[in-house]
Amino acid sequence: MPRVVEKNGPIDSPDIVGFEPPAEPVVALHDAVTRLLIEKKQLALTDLAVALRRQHEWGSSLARTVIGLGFVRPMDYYRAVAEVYEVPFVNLQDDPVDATLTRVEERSDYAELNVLPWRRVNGRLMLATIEISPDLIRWADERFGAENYDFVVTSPFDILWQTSELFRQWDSYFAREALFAWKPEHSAKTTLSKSQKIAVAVMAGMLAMALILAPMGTAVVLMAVFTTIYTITFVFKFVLTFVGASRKADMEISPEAVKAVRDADLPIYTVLVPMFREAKVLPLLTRSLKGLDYPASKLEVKLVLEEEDTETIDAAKALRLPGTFEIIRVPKSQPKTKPKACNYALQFCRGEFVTIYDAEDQPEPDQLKKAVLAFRNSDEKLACVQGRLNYFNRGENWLTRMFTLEYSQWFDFLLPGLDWLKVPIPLGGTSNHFKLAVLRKVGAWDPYNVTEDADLGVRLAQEGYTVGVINSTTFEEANGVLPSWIKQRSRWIKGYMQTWLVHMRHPIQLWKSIGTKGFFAFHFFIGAPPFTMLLAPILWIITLLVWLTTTFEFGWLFPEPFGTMALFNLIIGNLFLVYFGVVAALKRKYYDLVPVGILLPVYWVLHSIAAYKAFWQLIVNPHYWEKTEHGTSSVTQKTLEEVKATLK
Amino acid sequence: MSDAAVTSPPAIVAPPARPAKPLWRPATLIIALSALVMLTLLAYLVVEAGYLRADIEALQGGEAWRTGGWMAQVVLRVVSLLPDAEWQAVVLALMAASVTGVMFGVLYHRLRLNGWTVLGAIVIVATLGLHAGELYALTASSRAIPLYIALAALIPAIRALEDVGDVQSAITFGMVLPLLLLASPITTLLIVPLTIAGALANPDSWRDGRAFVAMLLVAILPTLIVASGVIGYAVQARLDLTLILSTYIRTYAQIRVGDISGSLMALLAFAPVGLVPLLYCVWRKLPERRRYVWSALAVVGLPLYLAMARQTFPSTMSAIVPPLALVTAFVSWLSVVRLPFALRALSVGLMLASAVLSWWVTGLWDDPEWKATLWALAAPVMGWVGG
Repeated sequence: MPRVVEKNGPIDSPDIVGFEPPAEPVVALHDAVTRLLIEKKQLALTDLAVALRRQHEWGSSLARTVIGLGFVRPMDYYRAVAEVYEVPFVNLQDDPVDATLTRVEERSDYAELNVLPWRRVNGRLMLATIEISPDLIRWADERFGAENYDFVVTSPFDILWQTSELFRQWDSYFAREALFAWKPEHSAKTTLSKSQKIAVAVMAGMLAMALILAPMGTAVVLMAVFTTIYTITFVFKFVLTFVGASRKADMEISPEAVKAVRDADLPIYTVLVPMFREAKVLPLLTRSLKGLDYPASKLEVKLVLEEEDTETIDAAKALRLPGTFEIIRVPKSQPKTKPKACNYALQFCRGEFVTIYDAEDQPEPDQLKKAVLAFRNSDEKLACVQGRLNYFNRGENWLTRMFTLEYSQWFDFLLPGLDWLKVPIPLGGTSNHFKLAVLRKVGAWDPYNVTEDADLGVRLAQEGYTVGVINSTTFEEANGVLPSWIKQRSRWIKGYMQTWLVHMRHPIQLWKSIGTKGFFAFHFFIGAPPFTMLLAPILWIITLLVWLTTTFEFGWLFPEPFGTMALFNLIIGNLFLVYFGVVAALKRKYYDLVPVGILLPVYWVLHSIAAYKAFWQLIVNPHYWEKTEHGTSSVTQKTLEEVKATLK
Repeated sequence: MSDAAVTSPPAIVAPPARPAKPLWRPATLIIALSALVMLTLLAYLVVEAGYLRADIEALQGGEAWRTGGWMAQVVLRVVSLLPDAEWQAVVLALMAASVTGVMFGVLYHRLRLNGWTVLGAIVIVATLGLHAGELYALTASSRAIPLYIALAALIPAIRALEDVGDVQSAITFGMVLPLLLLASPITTLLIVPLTIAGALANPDSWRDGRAFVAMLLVAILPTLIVASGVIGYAVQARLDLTLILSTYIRTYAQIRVGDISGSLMALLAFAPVGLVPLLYCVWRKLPERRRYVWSALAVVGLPLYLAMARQTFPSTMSAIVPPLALVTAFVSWLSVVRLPFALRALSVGLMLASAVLSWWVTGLWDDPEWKATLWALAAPVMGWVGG
C-alpha cells in the first residue's frame, strides 16, 4: 500500500469559517489541499469560506464544491492533491497510459473509480487516479496485490480523455450496436424484419389483385378503413385533449416542495448536451445551465460533440467553462445520429439521473429539482419524467406561432392525457430525465431510430416502466424557416414510422407487454398520425373534385354509415381538430395565438409535404439524420448578443 | 460513486388527493338498474300504444327541419338505419330508458358524493322518477328531451367555470353550448349571452382584450363547428338550406308580447324547487369554499327564459317544458353543489311536492290516453301485489 495514504491524517480546517474539521481521511485530504492552494495563492480565503458553506449545504466533497464553483481550475486542484499525497502528478495528454495494461472488461470500474493503470515504473504498476479512496485501494489490492502498485495523481478530465482514447473503438461500437446485439427486434437498424417484408409483399399483392378483380369494391373497402381510422384518431385526440386540459392531469410539483428540498439530499445529476456545428449558440447554453437551481458540485454537464466538429470543440474550450463541464468527443462513425452520440456519452456518466438538453434550450431553473422530487415521490417503476417543451420565439412569424400551438397541445395536453391514461408516452427530444441505471438496463437509445426518444418511451413501457410529465418547461427555439422546418418534421415523421414498424414486428408480444389500452394508444398516437398525413392529400383532392366539379360522383365510394362518418370527419372532425389546436394556447395564456390558430389547416398541408418526404427517406435512407439548424431566430440572436456582452 | 446518496425521501409533492369513490358502487348499480327496468317496462307499454311511433313519424315527416330540433333529427337518423318502424320505436324507447337509468345512477352517486344521506339521495331520485312530467316527457313527448339534456349539461358546465376555471372547464362550457343550438331556435338565442358570460368568467378577460377575444372564440367555436356540421349534413341530404334558415327567421321575425303569467304560474306550481338555488344565493353559512352564484341563478334563469320565450316567439314548445326544464336543471345542480342540511331537507320536500303536484295539476300536460296506458300497466301490477 502506498505509504502516503497512511501518512495523511486529519488536518484542521481554517478557523475563520467556523466549521468543525472533519475526521475522515478523504475529507481531511481536501482540507489540506485547499490550505495548500491558499498558500499558493490559487484559492482566495473568502472563496474557501464560501465553498465550505456551500459544501455544508450541498453535501458534496470540498473538491467538487471548489471546482464546481469555479474557484480553482481542476488541473491546479489535482496538482495540489498530488503534492499533499506526495506522489507525482501526471498529465495524461502529455504522458499517456500504456494501453497494454488496461482491460476492456474493467472499463466500467475505471469510470466508476476514476482510475487507470498508467505505466510500470521499476517493475511497480502505477495507477493514475484523482483520489486514493478505500474503495480504490480494495479494488487495486484485489487485482494487483497489496504491495505491487503505487499511485500517481491526475485530473478527472485526464482520466476521461484517456479512457475515451483507450476504449474509443469499443465505446463507439457499443454506442452503435449494443441495443441491436441485445434485442435486435427492438432496433431500427433494419427497417422491416423478414416477416414484415413478407407481410407487406403479400398485402400489396392482394391489394393489386383486388383492384384488378373488383376495383370499385376495393376502393369502397379502402375508404371505409381510412374513414374509420380517421374517426378513431379524431376521437382519441379529443379524449386526450379533454383529459389533458384538466388541472388534475398535470403532475404538479409546487414551488414550496421545491424550496423544501435540502441540497444535501440531492444526487449527482448528469446533463448531456449533444451538439453538432453549433458553436455560435454555446454561450446561450452555458448561461442556461449555469442558471439551473442545482448545486454546482452535483452537476455533471457533458457537451457531447462530434470529434470532427473542431469548430464547436474550440469554441467550447475558449469559453473556459466551469469544472462541472466536460467535453465528450464522439468518434466518427455511421449512423451519425444524436442517439448514437448520447449512447457514447452515457458510458462516461456518473449521475443518479441523467437528462438531455439541446444547445439552445432554456430550461426553467427548478427543473432538475422537480425531476428529483417526481422520482422520489413516485413508485420504483417511474423511469423517466418528461419536462414540457415550448418556444421562446413564438411571435417571430406564422410558422413559429403554429409550431408553438402544436407544441403547447403536445406537451400541455396530449402527453399529460397519455400520462393520465397510463399508456406509453413517446418522449420529446429533450428535457427527458432518466434514472441512469434504468436507462442502461433497457439498452439506452436506439442509434438507428431518428426519433429515438419516442421509441424509448415505448420500450420503457414494454419493460414495465412508466413515464411521467412534470410541470417544468424548457423553452426552445421554434424552427421558423420553412425548408428547415420541413427537414426537421420529415425526420420526426420518419422516426414515428420507424418506431411503429419496429414495435409491430411482434404485435402480440407488444400487446401483452403494454396492455390493450397501451396497444390502442400506440397505434393511434404513433402509428396513425403519419398514415393520416400521407392520406390527407388524397382525401383533399377527392373533396375538391366533389365541390368544384359536378361531373364527379363519389357517393358510391362512401356507403352508409361511412358516408356519414366521412362527412363527420371532413367537417366536424377537422374543425374540432382546429379547435383543440386553438385551446392549446390557453394553459400558457398565449391568447395572441388563439385567433391565428384558425389557420392550422394550412399547417397540416406542410405536415403532409413533410410526411411524403419522410416516407421516401424511410425507403431510401432510413437512418439519415436531418440536422435541425439552431440559432436562426432573431430572438436567439438578440439573446446571444446580450450574453456575449455580459461575458465581455 | 454518488457522493450524496439520498437517505430519506424529500418533502411532499402535493397534498394527496382524497380517493374518489368508484362510480359503480352496488347502491349506484341498483338504482341505475331499477330505473332501467321500470322505464323499460313503461317504454314497452308506450311503444305498444304507438306513442313513440308518432314521434318518429313526426320527425320523419320533417318536423325537426321545420322546428330546428337538430339533435332529435340526428338521433332519428341513427335509429332510421333500422328497417322496421316497430324496431325503430323499440330501440328509441330502450335508448331513452337506458340513458335515463344510467343518469339516475350517476345522480345518486353524485348526491352521495355531495354529502347526501342514502335516504335523501334515494328520495330525490325516486321523486324525479315518479314526476309525472318527467315520465311523460320520456315516453310520450320525447321531442323536448334535447332541451332538457342541454340544460342538464349546462348547469355543471357553468359551475365548473366558476369553481375549477381550468382549460377543461372552458372546453366543456364551449362544447355544451351547441346543445342549445341543436335543441331549438329559442334556446339558440341563449348562446350569445352565455358566450360573452363564459369569456368574462376568465379573470384575464377583464384586463386584456386579447384574452377576451380568445375566450370568446373558445366558447363560440364549437357552436359554429356544429352549425357547419348541420349545414353539411343538410347539403348531403340535398335539402334546401333556406329551409333551415327559415326556421330561425320564422322564429325571430314574429316576436309578439304574449301573456307570460300562465307560464310563470306553471313554473311555480310544477317546479317549486326553484326556491332552493335562490335561497342558496343568500344563505349565510354554506359548506363550500365559496358561493357559486351564477350556476345557482342559471338553474332558475334559464327555465324562466323558456317560460317567457315560448310566449314571445312562435314555438311548438308545450307549456310543460319550462317547468320540466327547471326540475331537470335543479337536479343537475344538486349533483354538483354541496348544500347545508336545511336546504337539502327543503329540496326533498319541494321535490316531493313537485312530484305530487305533477299528478294533481294536470292542466299542462293532460293526456288521457297516456294515463290510460299507464294505468293499464299499474292495475295488474297492483292486483298482483295485492294478491
